[in-house]
Amino acid sequence: MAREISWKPMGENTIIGTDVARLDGIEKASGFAKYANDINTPGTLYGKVLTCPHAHAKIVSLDVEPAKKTPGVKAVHIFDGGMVGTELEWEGALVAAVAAETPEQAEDGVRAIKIEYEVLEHFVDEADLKGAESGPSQESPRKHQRGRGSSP
Amino acid sequence: MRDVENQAAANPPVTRPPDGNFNRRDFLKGSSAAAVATALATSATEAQDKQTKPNVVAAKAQKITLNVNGKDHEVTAEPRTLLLTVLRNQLNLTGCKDVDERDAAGADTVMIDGKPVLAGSRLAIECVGKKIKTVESLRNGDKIDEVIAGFVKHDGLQCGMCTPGFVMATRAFLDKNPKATLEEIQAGLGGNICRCGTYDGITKCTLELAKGGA
Repeated sequence: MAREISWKPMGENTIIGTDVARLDGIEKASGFAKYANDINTPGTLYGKVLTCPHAHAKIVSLDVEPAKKTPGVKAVHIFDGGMVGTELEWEGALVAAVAAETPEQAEDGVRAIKIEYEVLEHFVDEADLKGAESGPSQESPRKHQRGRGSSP
Repeated sequence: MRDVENQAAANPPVTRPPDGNFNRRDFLKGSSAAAVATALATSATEAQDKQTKPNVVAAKAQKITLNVNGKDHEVTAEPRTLLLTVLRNQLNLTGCKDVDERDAAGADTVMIDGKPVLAGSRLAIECVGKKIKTVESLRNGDKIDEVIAGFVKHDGLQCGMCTPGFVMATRAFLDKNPKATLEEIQAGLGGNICRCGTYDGITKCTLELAKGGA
């Protein structure tokens, strides 16, 4: 014989259906709640990143010395993907980062970086992919494997 | 970045007295701020650019006084520094949030001379002499504005990132439209975006306040 199990009617449960106080409500709604980006420790530096503006490109040359000399800049970091000769494969790929005393100075530092790209071909749709597959294969075999979606 | 030549005028930075004489067009023509000079230069300035060797020098930071939440504060700002940056980084008023580089979300809403304004759309130097109010002014210890109380009561918040901006927008909206209808509220708060989807609670709160209070 099966025992019937069911919730109590609404209003009779001790937890389910009861109002829970929004403990952080006032802090958040009044703007007092501190999020990670709100913390202003003295001496905090601000970072900006240089990213590749091309969908597919090779870094030909990179000079970060002008960034280091930009007023307010305290450090410059070159990512693995920012080494000369690296083939970058999407717009927004990380190249280098600059840390400075104000966000504006960090942006100056990023702008001061001298970089030259060899812009390479990139695929956008199936027609591009078909064209590449049927054309002369001086391009690396990896490109053909990268195609997504159906192909006959 | 192929183009390594800098395009700014070689003029030394112009120090303008922060008063009513501030004129954006003149400032942009005469300053050494890199990005703007080429786009907005007059033909005279362009001719000057071609003669001299261009050299980027950011216009220097200067001390200015901003009236925020009823008090005068001395802060440091380059001409290009946003009001949002100064409020958050120097005055530690982090209620207005730096959410979106396109400044479309409304999370940085403050009030300037009684009107709701996006702090990320104003240069700090052009706010000198104006009365700036941030969301923190709606709370004094345990005393909170009815809008804040309403948001908490109707749970018009989740992660809380958009909330201070919404609170300011709602406060400014209700100041102007104390008896707003639902349609007016939806249109009036249309300048703020919430990714968590708290619009229901916010609308309920605002409707209740518009109909005569909690």
